[in-house]
Formats: sequence, structure tokens, C-alpha cells
Amino acid sequence: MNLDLINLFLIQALTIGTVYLIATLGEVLSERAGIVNLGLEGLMEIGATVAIVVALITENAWLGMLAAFVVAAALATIHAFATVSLKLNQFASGLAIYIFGVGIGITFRGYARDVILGPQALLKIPKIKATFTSIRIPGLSDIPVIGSLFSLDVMVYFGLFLGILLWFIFYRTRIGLNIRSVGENPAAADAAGINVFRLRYITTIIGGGLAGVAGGYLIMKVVTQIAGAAVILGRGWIAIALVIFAFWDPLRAIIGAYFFGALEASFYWLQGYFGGTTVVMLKVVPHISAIIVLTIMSIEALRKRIGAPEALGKPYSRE
Amino acid sequence: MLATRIPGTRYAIKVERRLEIPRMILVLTSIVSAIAGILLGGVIFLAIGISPMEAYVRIGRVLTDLSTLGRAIEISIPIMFTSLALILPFRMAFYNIGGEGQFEIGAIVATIPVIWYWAGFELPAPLYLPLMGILAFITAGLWAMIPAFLRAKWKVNEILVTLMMNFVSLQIIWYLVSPGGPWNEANPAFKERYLEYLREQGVSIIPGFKGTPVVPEIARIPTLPIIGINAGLILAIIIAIALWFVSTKTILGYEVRIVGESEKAAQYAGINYLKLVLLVMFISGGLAGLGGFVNLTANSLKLSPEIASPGYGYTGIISAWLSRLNPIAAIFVSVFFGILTQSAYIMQQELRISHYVSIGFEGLIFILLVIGDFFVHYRVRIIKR
Repeated sequence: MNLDLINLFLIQALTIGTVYLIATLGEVLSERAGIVNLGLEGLMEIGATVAIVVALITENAWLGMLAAFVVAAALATIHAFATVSLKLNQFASGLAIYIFGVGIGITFRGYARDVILGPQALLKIPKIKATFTSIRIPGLSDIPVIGSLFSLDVMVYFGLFLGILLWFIFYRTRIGLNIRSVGENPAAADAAGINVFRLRYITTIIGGGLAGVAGGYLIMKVVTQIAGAAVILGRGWIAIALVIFAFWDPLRAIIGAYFFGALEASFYWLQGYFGGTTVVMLKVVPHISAIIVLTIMSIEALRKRIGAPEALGKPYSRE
Repeated sequence: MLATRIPGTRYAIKVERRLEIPRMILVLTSIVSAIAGILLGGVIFLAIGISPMEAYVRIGRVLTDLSTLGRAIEISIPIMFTSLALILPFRMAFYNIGGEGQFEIGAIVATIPVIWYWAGFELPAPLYLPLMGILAFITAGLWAMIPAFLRAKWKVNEILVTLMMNFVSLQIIWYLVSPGGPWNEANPAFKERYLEYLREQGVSIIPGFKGTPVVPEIARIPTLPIIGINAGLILAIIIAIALWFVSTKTILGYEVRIVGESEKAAQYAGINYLKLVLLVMFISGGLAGLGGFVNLTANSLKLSPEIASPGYGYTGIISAWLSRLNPIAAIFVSVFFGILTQSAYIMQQELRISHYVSIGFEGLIFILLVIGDFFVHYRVRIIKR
């Protein structure tokens, strides 16, 4: 096989893997503090819309990214309010955010394309995409095969950095210890003087914002068109499954996310070999893989008695 | 318990946990969420520069024009099935989010006799509808037992599994009906008969869009006299009554309720969780699948990736929640969502806004409903200090 092809495959795998990674890390952050956010898919869909629309209007991809973070974080705030302050059902609240995000995300993207932006704006999409061109690290990027690992766009490096940063925060800092203890035993954390409510708000909001960024990166770098249909296509749900795969560990999340990125990237190559409608069936491989991974992890968790943060999904009140 | 003084007054807000939940508050929060959701949706319209009145006028038009109202009720029938399907599993706190996929699986297998028909293998006419319905129920039921089994056996999160499976079923449809796919209408195996049929309709070529050939007239659900709505409505009402009976008057309903209250307590009561969840999910998936069958043979008349569009399965979740898992209420709540969906189709034509806007409205209602639960669980009073 051609070395260039291997290079291209690795780049694609890491690019798509980064979409999974950023979303997964956001969910790891909020789940570590005890809040499940099932709205990820919806936050990503709405993040994608906000990112591309703002990026096209301002002609600046980073402003798009920032807007995606802010809007998704704002929606996650509703989730935090419902689950932390009002102590309501986290599953129901997350599902509601999911359905709302997908509905509004798709509607506004189509509306922006047809009415707000107009055909002129769509011509600027390649320019937006160009923001995410590879940064070649001199010397290292010329090494055969692994050279591609040193010529990636800035978001890939950001995802990797974020994973390592989160790991460092969780296991090497005071605030990380606090987050973990809030997720494991909020009553004890509270007694030790940690502000349970504030920490849960902060982690849920930042986690939700990261989902928006993941959606924004997906649409600006991978999809590169304003579709009037869903673009996330289950990746948000796979990210939630990846959290379980990672056993809530940011470093394991990196491995899982890149694995699913590679799985998806391989379809572009298999297309050439199968062709026709068979390739349509290949698209279910990530979803079926996620079910299998979830099952294996659940069996493992039962056997080894390890698993989710103890207080995950449970509201905390002081009474 | 908790009393917060309102600054500058002699009053305070007192929040206390309710010991018993009155029926009235459940009904009230549902109605308020639905209305507030529609109103708040108007604010989002404002944000993108469309007057909310533009949306409300269209909802009003659906309500007042008999022909569009009929269409809205037609749309509400598949929603009735997807919401009724969720009543038993939700009552036992098994979150089946896979209604969309189960609906699609039902539609897929119900299409098999249609494919046979066009390929030249014809069954006796009265066999079509019963066979298609039974196939849809059983296959979708078995499909839905997969997440039930995984959950009961190894505690695999059922929300994630049912959701992933929705993408699988949709992709199966894409595979079958895409141009070049085995069930695509342009498949040479159908050519002779299908072309003959199309010529009678005044069409001279097979276009070959994504989709199967149409359901032949002998396999279509009849329309009810006078009201002009398909007979799937009767089936949905019968199922609603049956579900009401099952959940209030039978051992199955009793066991479902016990598990819903506490899985531990159910264990002590000697309830076999595995057996119960498999049965409940078989029924649940089957009902959703039946919805797919009804939608295929009454509305869409061909299998395509849009068979469940714009998300009948997801609408069913909100409809079931909004009806407080009461099967009779679910029928009426489904009509409400049918009206909303039909209004969205009109908005799509006239305002150039995607019909997915109905899903946005539904999500908003769902968010408000979840937040409204606060008032279900807590009593908020203003007291004098």
C-alpha cells in the first residue's frame, strides 16, 4: 500500500477521532461530577449550526467555534438548572435537550442556508475549512508514515491537549480531587466544605460547551456543507458510550475516540472496494461497535465491580 | 422546610416535598408545558426574524380547516402507536428510546409482501393486511428484545443501545431502497408489473428515486366511512383500551408497576425481571412496529428513508411523557402533536422553514415538562411571616 494513502488515512482517522474526543471529554467532565448529559447529540447538532452560520457571517471560523461553545453551554445550563438546582430526572432532561437541539439545529441550519445567508455565503465554506489546514512541524512531519502525526490541524492538537489536561486536573490537582469527590460522595464533599452545586454547574456547562465545539469542528472541517438534515448522525451518542468505554478516564477516552475515528475513516477507503449500496451498510459499523463495546464494558464492570462515579445520575440535596 | 424570605416584604416562599402527588397537578403541568412550549417557540421565531404570529396563524388554520385537520389526524395515528408503545416500558422505568427504529423495522418487514407482489408472487387478497401486520409486530418485537436482554443480563444501558439501533434500522432502509438497492423501484425484477401499473396511472417510466414500488391497492388500509380517516385509528384506540386494561387490571400491569417503583422491591416480591422486561419490550417494539405498518399502508404507501420522518419515534417519547403514561390520554396528546406536525409542513411550504421545526417545538415542550416536574414533586407556597 502506498505510504501517502496510509498518511491520508491516519490524518482522517485523527480528524474524525477529534470530533469524538472533544465531545467525550466534555461528557467525562460532567459525569465525573455526577451529572449525566444525554443531550450531547443535540448540543453537537446545534453547535454545528451556530458554528457554520457565525463563521460564514463573520468569515472567521474561530468566532464560529466560540459561538458554538457559548450557545451549547447556555443550553447545558438549562440541564444543570433542572438537574442540580431542581434535582429532576437527568435522563429526561438530557433527552429533552437532545430532541430540542436536533430539531432546532436542523431547522435553523436549513433556514440560514435558504434565507439568511444566500448562495454567495456558501461559496466561502472552503475558506472557512482552510482555517483548519495542517500545521506541519518542520522535520518531524517529513518522517515516512508517522510524519502525518506531525502535520495535523490545530484542533487535533487541542483535543489531545485537552485530554491530557483533564487527566492532569483530575488526578494531580485539588480542584480535580474536588470534582471527583462530588461525583463519588457529594454528602462527604459537602461536609468537607466543597460547593457541590457550583462544581456541578461549572462542569456541566463547560462539558456542554465542548459538545458544541465538537459539532462545530465536524461541520467546518469534515462535513463542509450546510445540510438541511442531521449531520451528527449518532456521533454524540457514541461519545456517551465512549465515556463508559473509557471508564471515565480522559486518557482512555483518547484511545477510544481515535479508534472510532479510524473506524469511520476506513469507510472512505472501503467505498472504493465495495461500491454500490453495500457501502451504505458499512455506516452502521460504528453504532454496532458501540453496542458491542458497551456490552463488553458492562460485563467487565459487573465482574470487577468497577464503574461509574458512585453518585452518577443522582441528585444531591442537603436535607 | 425551606423558606426563603422575599426581600422587603413580610412574605416568604416555602418549598416542601409532596407526600402524595395529586392527579390535578400532573394534568395541569402537562397542559401548561404544552401551551408554554408553543409560546416560547414563538420567541425563537422572533430571534430569527419571523413573526411568531406567522407560525400561530398556520396552527390555527390546521385546526379550522376540515381537510387539513383530517390530514393532521392521519399524521397523529403513527404517533399514537409510538407513544402507546412506550407506556409499559416507561412505567417500569425501562427507557426505550428506540421507538423510531422499531417503527422502521415494522415498516420494513411489512414491505416484504409488497415486494413479492411486484416481483410476480401474489397472495390471496384478504391475506395481505393481516400478514403484514403480524410480520411487523413480531419482527419489531423481537428487535426490541435485544436491548431488553442486554439490560436484564448485564446491565447494559438501554437508552444508548435502543438509540444506536435506530441508526442501524435507518441504514437498513437506505441499503434496501437506494438506487441500485434490492428493493429500489427500478429493480428489473419489478419492471414488467410495475410499469404496467404506472401506465394505468398515466406515468410512462419508473423514476427510480430512493424508495420501493408503491403498496398495491389490495394491501392498503381501508378508509373509514364518513370521517375519511384510515382504519388504523380504530386499531390504535383498541390498543389504548387494551393497554389501560393490562396496566390496571392484570398481574402484568401490577408487576410493571412494582418494578417501576423499585427494582429491589420487585426482586423481593419474586418478580423475574428478565422475563418481564423481555415480554414488555416485545409488546412495546411490536406496537411501534405496528405503527410502521399502518404508516406504510395508509400514509406513505412506499418504504423510503422518510418513513418515520420527521421523527415519529421521538415524538412518541414526548407524547407518552406528556400524557403521563395514560394510554387514553396518549390518543389525544398524539392528535395535538399531529396538528403541530401538520402545521410544520405548512410552514415548510410557506415560510421556507424546515418541517423539523415541529421537533424543535416538541423538544421545548419536553424541556418545560421536565422542569414542570419540580411542581409535581414539591409544593411551593407563599406564606406570611
